[in-house]
Amino acid sequence: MHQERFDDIRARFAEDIASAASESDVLDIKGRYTGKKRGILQELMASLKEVAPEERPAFGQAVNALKSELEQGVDEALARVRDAKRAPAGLDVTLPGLRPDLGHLHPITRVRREIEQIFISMGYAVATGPEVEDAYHNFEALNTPADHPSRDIQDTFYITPDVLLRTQTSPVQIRTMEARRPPIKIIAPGRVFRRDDDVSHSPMFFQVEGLVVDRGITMAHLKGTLTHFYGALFHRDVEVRFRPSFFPFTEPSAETDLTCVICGGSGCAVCKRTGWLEIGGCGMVDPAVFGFVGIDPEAYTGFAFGLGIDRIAMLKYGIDHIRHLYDNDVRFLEQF
Amino acid sequence: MKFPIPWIGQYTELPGDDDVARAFTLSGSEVEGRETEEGETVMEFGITVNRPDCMNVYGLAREASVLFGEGLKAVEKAVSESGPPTAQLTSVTIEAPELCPRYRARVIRGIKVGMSPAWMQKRLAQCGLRPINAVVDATNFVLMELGHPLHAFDMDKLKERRIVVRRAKPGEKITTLDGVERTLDPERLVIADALRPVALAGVIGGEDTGVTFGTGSILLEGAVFEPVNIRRTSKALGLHTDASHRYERGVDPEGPAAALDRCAKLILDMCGGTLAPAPVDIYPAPAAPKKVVLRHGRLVSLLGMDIAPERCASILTALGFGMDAREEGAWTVTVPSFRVDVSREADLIEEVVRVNGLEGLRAELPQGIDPVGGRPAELEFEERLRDQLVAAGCSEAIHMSMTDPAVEKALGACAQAVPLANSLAPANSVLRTSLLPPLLLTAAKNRSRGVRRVALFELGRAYLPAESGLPREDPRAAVLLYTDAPAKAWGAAPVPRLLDLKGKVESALDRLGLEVVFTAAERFPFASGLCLDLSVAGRRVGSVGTLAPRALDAAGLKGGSAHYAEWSLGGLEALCRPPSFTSLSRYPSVVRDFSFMADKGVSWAALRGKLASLPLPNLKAIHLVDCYEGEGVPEDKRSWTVSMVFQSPDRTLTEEDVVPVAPVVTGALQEAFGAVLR
Repeated sequence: MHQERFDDIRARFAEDIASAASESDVLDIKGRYTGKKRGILQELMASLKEVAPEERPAFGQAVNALKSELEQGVDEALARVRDAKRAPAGLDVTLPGLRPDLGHLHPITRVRREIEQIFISMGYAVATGPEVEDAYHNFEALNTPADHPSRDIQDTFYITPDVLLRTQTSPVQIRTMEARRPPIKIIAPGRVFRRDDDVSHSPMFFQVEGLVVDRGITMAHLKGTLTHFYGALFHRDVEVRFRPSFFPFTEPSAETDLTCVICGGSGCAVCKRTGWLEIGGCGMVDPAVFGFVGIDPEAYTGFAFGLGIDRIAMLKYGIDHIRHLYDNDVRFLEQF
Repeated sequence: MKFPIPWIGQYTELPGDDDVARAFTLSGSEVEGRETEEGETVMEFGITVNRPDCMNVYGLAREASVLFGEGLKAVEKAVSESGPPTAQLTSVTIEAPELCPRYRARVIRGIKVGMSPAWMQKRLAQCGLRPINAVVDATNFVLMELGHPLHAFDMDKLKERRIVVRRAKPGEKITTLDGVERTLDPERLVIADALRPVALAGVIGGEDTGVTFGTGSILLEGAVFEPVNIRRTSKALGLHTDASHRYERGVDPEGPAAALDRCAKLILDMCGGTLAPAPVDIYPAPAAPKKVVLRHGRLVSLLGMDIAPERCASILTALGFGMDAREEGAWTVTVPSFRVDVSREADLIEEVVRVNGLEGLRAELPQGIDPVGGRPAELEFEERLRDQLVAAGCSEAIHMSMTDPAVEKALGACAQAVPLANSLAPANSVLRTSLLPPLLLTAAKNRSRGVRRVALFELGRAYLPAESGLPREDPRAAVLLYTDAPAKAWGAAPVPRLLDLKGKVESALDRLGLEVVFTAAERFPFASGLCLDLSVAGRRVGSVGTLAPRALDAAGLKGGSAHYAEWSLGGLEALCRPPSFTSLSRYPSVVRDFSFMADKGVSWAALRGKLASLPLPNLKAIHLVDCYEGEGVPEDKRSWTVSMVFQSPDRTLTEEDVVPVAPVVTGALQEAFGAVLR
């Protein structure tokens, strides 16, 4: 019976205090409920004498509890209306946020950095070399003699018969081995050029060359390195398959096939239903190359590999056409 | 290179097409395509340049026999010979033995030349060859089947019926089978008769002596030529033929006999006639078989995988290599004459790997790190600069290194650009000497696609001509802000000004620890009065400014405005200073603002310099608050507000400390610039 009165007061207070918009509203409500003179709680307490004597202690405690409850509600309401006065509302918070004006890194740079980071974490150094090379470093020292058909594998831009735009990042191998002795563990990212311009080729693109020379380096190390690298790059377990091939500066040479990172090997349009992606070339450093740089092939062995940054960027970001990469359409660049 | 599978199947047992394609692909001769022609499977093989022995049916059959462990049948080439020996009918003289190690000739007389039969024409068509007549078709058929190029001469048209292999005489002419008259020089090797060249050795025959339907006697040539000379001739004359393709890769020095016999048999079957016995064979220095030592231990240590010695030996034996008994873990291997690509131990290891496959190869990581390690300082600097420019609101572009010489020139390139000898198009025919041409052309391209605000940067090299050696590659950074219309987007910044670009460059370099000094300059392609040189550590490294309208014209940009900065990065990484901590004063600072008017000719650099030079104790900083011209300010004046901050490291400054500042500042500004306090 008393409980009903308490609940009624509590409900009315909640309604009143919620509609209070200003400090004076709140103070009015405070006076009405908890005021010393004719406050609602005061009146409630006055009715104590009507309560059965054995219930009076409990009744008195309940009134006090309700009082502190209402006082807390008043304090909260006061804090709310005072805050509202200091920070007026009225903003349409559904308006778009104002973004800082930031630019975008080119996808090639993003992928190149990822590649460099993985290899740096494996103890590699990043090396560079000239983009305009001499025929000696681009071909001869890579066991690709003049007047040999292996020169035809890569269509070359020439400046003079001896000076050309490098067709591969492999000359950095030679320049590094000329400059220092093993142990060598480098990757060499950079621009390369082929005299080739069609739907799937750009006359300039980006490659990464890798070279490891030390005592006891094996083809198993090459496979382990590439398996670890591609797994880290595509954030998934991958399998690397070696398919025998020919490159003048490695022997044995292999094409590297990678479990298709799009379908996981079950076959899709990207891997032409084979489950494999042809992703780069590799092999064990040809003894003739060691001959050009004066490293004893009996004491040292090495592996080398190459891959295209463009192709990886296209796979990673779903870019359908190599032309986008060097067209520099702002609408393209802003997607990265 | 296309070959029909049933033809290969004549010489060895083959499984289904899928297995054939897979086995070839995984052993180094990739099957790149498959089609059905005349009801049979024809496969396109991507045969690498080191394997001319696989550029024919029999070579592929040999590979297949090893891959599938089947036998290899011999080629049918038994011939019946009659009449006088060949040497009585013709003679062969080699005058240039360095270019022609071997020349073997057979003679067939009394033939009737018609068309080849349908089965032969089908085979040629499947390989992509046109039928000509029975004799020519037979030589082509054998080329496809055995890989050795042959040539048939109409014997009656050879002067004195003899062959001379020699260098061409200067200016000597020949009309080749393609109907083109060619003028020769002594670099070209020719097959001549007593008087004149009748073929370009190893490349193409002559028109005059070619076999026709009227031919009665033929001389069949099976020769070996030096690869480099063939390649040079083929390149010099722009003539790439099936024959030159094989000769420049190297043919089997022991190949001519079998190929000639096989061809002779086919011709006798189709055209009748009699084959003269005892072919002429000029082969003064027969090639000695190559011997190569293969150490099993080396194979294991190079691969990191053990392939049993017996397996290695059986693979090499099946491929035609001669294996003697293994001694102390090594074989002496005799290389078959058709394997011109194999001469070293590494080549033999590759042969074993190729056939054995690499499925058993473990994946291991090499130990150890490179002692140099990581990115060199100049590359790390470039990465950090990229991040700063992105933070400054610019997106990264990557352009071709080649550009348009006309645009280079119109944009005032100071150096003569390095031209390509064989560019693909005039618009990409020189190497850029500045990053401006490609960036500006990109702005124009974007504008034509409706993108009217461009903030791009690029880090890349400019290629500067050098007195000798390779061009000098100068690493550069460039930033372009182009705007054609004020932004009409929520929250977008207004049209960028030159000071925006100057600030981006200054802030990016400052964050990298470089102090940049800007000095006013006059340089094309910047507009007059809107260009600054950019110096670091007393060295000019580049410029920043507003591009002159005619520079925009050069890139086809009509309208809009562009601000551009380009500077050289070489050596900057060494000048970067890490931040250096200054202890924080515990005492509050006092700020005094001054608002005054000065003539428009008075620059901020001059004002700031004057204020900084005043003898004011505890002056901590001078900030520009506002610079205004326009309404409320006389036409020839600018209104300035400058804030000066005073702070002492050891006490709290009082009002009395800064009271004397005002008269010093106003007096100095008045005296130096006639500036009046507002």
